[in-house]
Order: sequence, then C-alpha cells, then structure tokens
Amino acid sequence: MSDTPAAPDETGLTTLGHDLLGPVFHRWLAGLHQYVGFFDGPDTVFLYCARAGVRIKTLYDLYLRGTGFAPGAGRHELFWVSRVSVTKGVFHRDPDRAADAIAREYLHRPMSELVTGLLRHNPDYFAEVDVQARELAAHGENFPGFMKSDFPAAKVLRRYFADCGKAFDAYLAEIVGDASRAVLVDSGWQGSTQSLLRHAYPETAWKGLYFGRILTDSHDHEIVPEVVGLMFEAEHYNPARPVTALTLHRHLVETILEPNGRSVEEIPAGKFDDRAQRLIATNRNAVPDPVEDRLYLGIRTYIEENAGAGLAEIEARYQAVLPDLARIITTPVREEALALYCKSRSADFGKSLNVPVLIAADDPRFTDAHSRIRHALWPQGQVALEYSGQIARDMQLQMIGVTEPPPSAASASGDTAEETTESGAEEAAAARPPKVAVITRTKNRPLLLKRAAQSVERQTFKDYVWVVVNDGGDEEAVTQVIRESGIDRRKIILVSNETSLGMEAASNIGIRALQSDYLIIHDDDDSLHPSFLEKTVGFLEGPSGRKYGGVITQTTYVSEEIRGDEVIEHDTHPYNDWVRNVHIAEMMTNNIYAPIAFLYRRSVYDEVGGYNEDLPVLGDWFFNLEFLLKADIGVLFEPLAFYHHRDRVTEGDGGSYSNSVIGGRSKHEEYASITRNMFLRKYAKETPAAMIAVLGYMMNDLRRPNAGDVMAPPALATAASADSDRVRLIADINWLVSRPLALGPVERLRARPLSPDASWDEVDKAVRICSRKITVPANFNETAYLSANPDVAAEIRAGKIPNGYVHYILYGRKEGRRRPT
Amino acid sequence: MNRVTTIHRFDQIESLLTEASDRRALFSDPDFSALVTARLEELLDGPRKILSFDVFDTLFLRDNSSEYERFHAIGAAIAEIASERTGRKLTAEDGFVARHFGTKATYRAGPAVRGYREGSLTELHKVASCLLTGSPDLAEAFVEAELAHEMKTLTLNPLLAGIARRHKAAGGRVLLLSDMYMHAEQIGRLGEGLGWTAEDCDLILSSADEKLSKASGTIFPLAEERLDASADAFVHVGDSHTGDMMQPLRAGWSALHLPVSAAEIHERRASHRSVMEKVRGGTGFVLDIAMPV
Repeated sequence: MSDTPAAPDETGLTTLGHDLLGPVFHRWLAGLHQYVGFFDGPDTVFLYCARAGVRIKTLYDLYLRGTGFAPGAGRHELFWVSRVSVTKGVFHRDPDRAADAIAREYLHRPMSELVTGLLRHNPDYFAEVDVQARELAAHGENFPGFMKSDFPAAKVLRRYFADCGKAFDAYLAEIVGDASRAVLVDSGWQGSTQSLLRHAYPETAWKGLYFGRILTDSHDHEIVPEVVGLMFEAEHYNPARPVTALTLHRHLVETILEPNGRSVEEIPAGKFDDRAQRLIATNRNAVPDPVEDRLYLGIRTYIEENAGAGLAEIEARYQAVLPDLARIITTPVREEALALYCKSRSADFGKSLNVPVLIAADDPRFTDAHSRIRHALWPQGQVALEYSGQIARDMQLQMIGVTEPPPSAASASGDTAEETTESGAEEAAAARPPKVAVITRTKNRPLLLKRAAQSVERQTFKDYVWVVVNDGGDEEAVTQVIRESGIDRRKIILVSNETSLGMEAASNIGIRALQSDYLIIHDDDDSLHPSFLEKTVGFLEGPSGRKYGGVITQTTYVSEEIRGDEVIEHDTHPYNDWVRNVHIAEMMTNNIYAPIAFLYRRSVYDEVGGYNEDLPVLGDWFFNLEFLLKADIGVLFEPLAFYHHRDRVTEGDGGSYSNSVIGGRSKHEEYASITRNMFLRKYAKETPAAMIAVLGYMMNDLRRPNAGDVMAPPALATAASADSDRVRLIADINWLVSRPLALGPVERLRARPLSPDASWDEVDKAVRICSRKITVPANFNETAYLSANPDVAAEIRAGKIPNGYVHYILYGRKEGRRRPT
Repeated sequence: MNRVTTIHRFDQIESLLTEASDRRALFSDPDFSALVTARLEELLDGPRKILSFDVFDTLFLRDNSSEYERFHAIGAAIAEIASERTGRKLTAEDGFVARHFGTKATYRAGPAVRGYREGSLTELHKVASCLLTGSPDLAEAFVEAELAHEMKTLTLNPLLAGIARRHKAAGGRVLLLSDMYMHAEQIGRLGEGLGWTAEDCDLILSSADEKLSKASGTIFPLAEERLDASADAFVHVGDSHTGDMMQPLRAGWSALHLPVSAAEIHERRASHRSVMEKVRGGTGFVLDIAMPV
C-alpha cells in the first residue's frame, strides 16, 4: 500500500501478533469449536464464508490438528461468496430486500457507478448498458424504484439477476445439500449475508458464528438471536469488558483474517462459474505478505506452537493479555498504532477503492489531522499518529467516553472483572438500611394505589422499601392491595393513621418510619418508568450527581378519568419540559416539577426538618423552596415520571379520585400566596437567598404573564412546532412502552423506549410501530386537517392509517402539508 | 388531632427465613412449620387447588456450596471421566472451563420457543464432551456425573414434602416447576434419590424442556394448559422473588415466597470467593459465574 503510514518493522513491536493477538485468537478458536460442538450433527453444514473463511478454516484446522480432534458429523465447506454475490444471487427470490441492500451500498453514488460495479466481471451484460443514460445519474438510493422501471439498464439488470438466481440456487443445492441447518462462519458482525439467505431460503435454518457481534441501525431484528458473537456481543466499548475494545477497531480482526485474494463477486455455478473460479483461485493461492500480514502470521505461529494447550491454559492466557489488548486499542501510542496496523481494507460490493484503517500524513485526499482522524477506520490509532503525550491520550479517552485508560494486565482479571466483587462489600450492603424509601400517601383510592404498587414493583432498581401511608382511609382496602402486589413482602411497611393528618404530615410520618439514603414521594395516583430509580440513584451516586442534593427527571403529564373500576387515559404530553435546571428564583414563581419526578437525599430532608405540616396543599412546593436553600437539584433529560391528572371529571364527580391540583383548585390559588409569604417570614431574616428568590419572582412575574399562576394548565396550550411534536411523541411512545398492556404483542416486541433527544428518524420508526396507539394532541386540529386533505380522510376510512395526526407526522410534514392548530 | 398511628408489616415468614442461621433447621421447627402450613392452607382453601413448588432451594434444599464450587467439582469429575476414557491429560480446570463453555452455548444458541431460550444439561454436556474429547460421545456420562454430584448437595425439604403429600392424599394435585437447565426426567431422578417419588406429584415442568420459564412468566399458562386448570387454581411456592412470587402473581396465581436466608447467602458467597481465588491462583483465570445473591 502506497499510503501505509510508516514501515511497521521500525516499531520494535513486531511480535504483537504472536504475543498479544495469538492468545486472543486461540481463545476465539476454542469458542468456535464450542459452538461447532453445539451445532454439530449429520444434518448440519458449516460454511466458512469467503474471504475471511479461508483463513478462519486454516486456523481452525490447525486448532483441531493440535488437539488431535477429528471433524465431527457435520460437513465443513468453504463458501465462496461475498455480500455482493449473495445479494445478486437472492434477488430473484427477495427483490425488495436485495435492492435495499444494494441501494445502501451506493446511497450517495450515481447509479451508473452501481451498475458498473455490479456488472464489472460480466462484459457481455455490461455492453448492453449505456452508462451515460440520464436515469443512471440518479443516486443509488433510488435503486429499488429504478429496478421496477422499464429503463433499458433495469431490464438488463433484471435479466442478469435472474441468471444469477439460477446459478445461486444450483450452488446452494450443491453446497448445502440435504442439510437442514447451515452455520455460517465469518469474521463479523451483524449477519448481513445471513439475513439475505434466511429470507430467501427459509427452508434452511441459517445460523451464524462470528468473531464478535456488533449491530448497527440497519441490522435485521429477526435474525439477531441466531447471530452469535463468539468473543463479544456489544455495540460499544465497555471498560468492564475489555474485549469490547474491538468494537472500536473491528477492522483489526477483519484485516487479519482477509486473504490477499480478490472478492468473489460472481457465483461459482452456471454461466458465471469460470469467472468465479478465477476469483476463487486468487484466494486459494494467496500467500500471506510477510509485512502486511505479519499479525496473521504471528497468530498462526502461536496457534501452531500452542495448539495442544488445554482449555484452562487457553482461557488463562487469553485473560492475561486482554487488558493489554484493550489498552493498546483504546489509547495506543504511535509505535503501537503502527504495529497494530496491517493493511487498508479493500472495499467490496463492486467497488475498487481501499478504505484506510490509518491514513498517512501525505495522503492528498485528507488535508489535515482532523480530517484524517475523522476518516480513519481506527480513529484512536490515527490520533496516535497525529499527536503525542497527554494531548493524544486525552483525545483518545474523550473519544471512548472515559476519563482513565483501561487497567493493565497486572491490575485486571480479564473479561470477567464485572462479575467479581470485593470481599464483604455485598454483606455490608445487606446489613445497612435500604437505599431508597418510596413514600406513598393514600386515602380510599385502592384503584390508583394498585397502579402505584405496580409502578414500584416494576422498578429495575431493587434496593428500596415501599412505605404506604394510609392517611385515615380504609385500612383493609390498603392491606388488600399490598397482599395482591408482587413487591417483596420484606420491602413493604404500612403506616396507618386512624384519622387523616394531612398530606405533609403523612409524608413526614412515612419518611420517619425507617432510615434510607434517598427519598421519593410517590403519590398513589402517579407512576414511574421502570428505570426511574436506577437512573436517578445512579446519577446521584455518579461523578456528575455528587454535587446535588436531589435530581428530577423530565415528566409526562397524563390526562385520565375514572369510570367505574377503570382508569381511562386520554392524553399524554410533556410536562414543563422547558425545565433544564432548577433555580430558586424560578421556583418562587411556581412549583416547576411534580413530586413524582424528584428523588433526593434524606440528609437534606433532615436539614430542612421535614414537610411543613401547617400547609393543607402546596407543601411540596414549600419543601422544594426550603430544599433549594440547602442544596442544588440536578435534571435528567429523560421522561421517567408520569404525573397523572383526573382533569376531565365533570362537576360533582371529583370525590376521592380527584387530584389535589384539580379537585382542590381554589385551595391551591388561595395557598399560593400564603406559601410564598410563609417562606419569606421564615427565611427572610435568616438568609439573603430568600430575598433573592423574591426578586427573581418579581422579575419572572413581569416577564411572563402567567408566571406565578400555579394553577395554569400544564403545557396544554403548547405552540405547535415540529420540535414540540417530536418531544411529545417521545413522551407518548415511552409511556406506551412502559405500559405492558398498552401495546399489542407484536408491537410490544418491536417497540423500544426512545432517548429524549431521539431524532425524527427514530421517532418516525417508533410511530410506525405504535401508530394505532398514537392519539391526536390538543393543539392539532384533526378536523381541519382531514377537511384540507380528503386523501388522508379516505385512507383513514380504509383503515390504512389511524388518524390525521399520525399521517401528518409520518408523511404530511415531509410533504409540506399545513399543520392546523 | 387524634394521632393514633400503627405500623404493619407483611413479612413474618419471609423475615424468619431471611434471618435464619440454618434454613434447613427452620423447616423442621414446629412453630415455623405451623406458620407455613397455616399460610398455605389459607391460600389453598381445600384440596381443589393445585400446589406448585419450585424445585431447587425450595422442595430440594441445597447445601451452601456456591455454583462456582459445584461447577468446579463437576468439572473435575468430567475431566477425570474424559481422561480415563480417552487417555488425554486433562485437569479439573479443563473440565471446569468445558462445562462453563457448554453452559454459555446452551443458553445462547439453544432452540427458542416464542423467542425464549433456556439452557439444557444434555446440550451443555454435549458441548463439554466435544471440547474435552472432540466428540459428543461422553455427554451422557458427564450428565450422570453431574447428577451424582448434585445428589450429594441436596436434601428433601421435610416441611414442604409433608404438606404436598397431605394435599395429594386429600385429593389435591401437586406440580413441580423448575427454571433450571435440568430436564424434567433428570429432576425426577434426583427426586427419587431424595425420597420424592413419581407418585408424589402430578407433573414436573422444566424450562430445560419447555424453553419457557417462571422468570419470564411464560411457563404459567403452559402449566394451566397441561393440568387443565385456570390461573386462580394454583398456589405456587418458591425462593425466587421474581420467578416464584412476582411472576406467578402477575399470572393470576397465588404465591408464597420462601427466600434463602442471609446466612446461607453469606456462606455461598464465601464459597464462591474461596474457590474463585483458588482457581485464579492456580491457573490465572476467572469464570463469569454470578456471585450468589
């Protein structure tokens, strides 16, 4: 390679392949044998996928020879394919999937290039194509539609794919034979070829054994369980599992296993056999290059020398080198980067270019260090070539999102570090009080209490105690809900007040019923996402959260009503999602978050002295103000709390199921000023902060017409904007995902929670999955939209789309249709 | 204002077990037996209901060796068998790693039912045999070695066995429900060795056979189907909060949680650490076997 950054022989690290990678690849071969043993049987054929399969089989044969084992009952064959040959071969059976696969490879390249690439070994077909044709100037992303057209090139390609299909059927019939199970063996990473084969030839059970499994957004969900990563299954580097460092530099494995032959882009059967055999021969006869293949040669020598080693020795040697491998991949110095560099990756899929693993400084395609780092396949290695010392190390650590380099072999114990524990740590944890006390105040609302119990039960973080405070209600009804809940009985305390003491006294009495590190008031009508405690406790105990006395998460407002024994949910939307931080001055104007979103340290509660029992309502607001005089509150930008409101009750049916905010409206208005005044009387003399809060309140009051109105309906009148739609949909979808019965079985399997900053693409995908459950928001005029768009109304009538809003989100907004409010 | 406040707890049986220094002794204690019997009689409300037991650490009580210790000992046994039969030089640690790799393979690649996978002892030892000898021929011998070792670590829970037999004698039905990698037939054989005969229960369902589990909640409808009974006819008893309490309750069953004691967990953790350190010191590797909890 002319663009090789430097001669590796000068590095002094020429034994890296043997000493460092040898034990790793030896362990991988033992893993391969492990799964070959699992799948082995007369009904199975193991297919070593070219080109990596050539070297994989060579190494596996060495492993078997060293152990003295004979191959098992299954057949082991080299499978002379490439992604492009398989795509061409299955086109006749699964044209949509194959066309998509081709389009993805040439998304932003002209189709003339695509056609040239596909036909480059077939001059007879290619001669029929006019590559200057106007339609071939379009980008490759149009390929699926193009293939359905009558353009001359499309006709040629359809004929070519039909011939490829016949050849591929014949090749598979020969190589798979009577086997009912075919196991693909390849370097990695997400089973793209396996996916094509599985959909085109469903009569065969297709399995995949790969060095590792790394899934990207385009992976095939349906085959994931059958895509086995022998060394790791991960998308990102996790310092607790050093082997996942290879996710940062997967090309290391690929270049080591790639022989110096050509990609087998033609099918070795039928009319293409001759051309394919010529390509195959370049691989069969490929001789490893002593310089470019030095890592492979080192590994091969290591396997030859140690092939008879027992499993325990293989495992021990692997674990011994693993921390060093992780360190050298994540934070290499220049010499190490060069030593771990083999050769550039040759692009497949009909392309001729080489993809640089590391880029030489004089490569004219890249003008500066930043550009080279961005384009190198191993960015951490490229950093080592561009910079040195602390600057390089800091950049590398920043790239992998950690502050310290991985530990060396001397201080780590292989890939199982996360499984081992310090002696006595768990026993000490078991002996101390629970981390979190979840306080639930209730009074004669068993229906809602049951939902609160489910919310607590589903928490993934289990180190809590649930304290139910029955504040003067029917004790038996509360006991019944507790008995029916799935919460560990050892984690439940019922505090029962014979007569009601009021909300704040109920909080205090519940909190004082036991010790804990953290507190949350989980009212009986609210609910939490299952990961709420896990994420909030994790935050407060992590480096970012230690400075805070508490943390709030983003919140979803849930509008609901009670009908008989049923809770009917009507609408959800983000609640005060503009809150990015918590200022004491802003808190003076309004209680800007709901109690259900707030987890805090008990030490601050103790300092404050508890909730103010003199206030019949808004005690949580007063407490928040007092809290902010003592400590800061962090914000997690994930909607993990659900603030429920029976805001649709008609006059007279509020009763015990109404909210204090809705049902006690006049009291809230009355006590808003009382609360502020009480706060000032208590703190104005003691701390200037209270006066600052007053000033802040006045400023906000002047600037925002609604500031100070604690009763303002939360976010119902949010302005219609693309981003508010996105945020609202994220909240809606996360709400649906967190509710086990909200979605149908198929939707449940496919739907995944979204991150708060999920892109429109991600939101679109989720909306497609959950479309039947997406409701029309208050600020979208459904009637006006359907009236203006009769085609949409027709689609709804035909049952193709559930409502106009979903149409607007998925199509209308992209088509420039107006969003009526 | 009248401030009469009372504190209630609901964990008398669970806490007695958690705090017991010897859970096996507690199961023989007359007062505790009376407490559990009364609770189960209340839940069963006569012989019409089906009494369902988790197997390991519930009906069959384990000693306090950790998985790390047990699997190492089983590894030693299978390595010895493989050495004898093939003449290969194999260490106890080779057998330990082979068994561990077998576990990983069966849980990762075994057949799935409705998307769920569970391990199988038979598959596990097929892989172990291939890894140690190059062929699956010794899988059956390895399974026998594992069952023999398990027999040494198990005792029958006298309290629960007695309750089950009385329930059956009164015309009730008894079910064993296991989330282990052991197949129902293997569990039955272990039971025979412990004095729990085929006549003592109506059905054994194991996730190793069905690929559905208590932990995922998927095995409960299958049990209802096999015994032709509705969810409210079942009372389940077991040591795992998730699999034996939370999930059966979600399925509409009644449930009683009989947790492993803190002292036992402590002992098992000590065993885990001790064997892990011994193996690490001798060979340099650590296997990712979970610490007892």
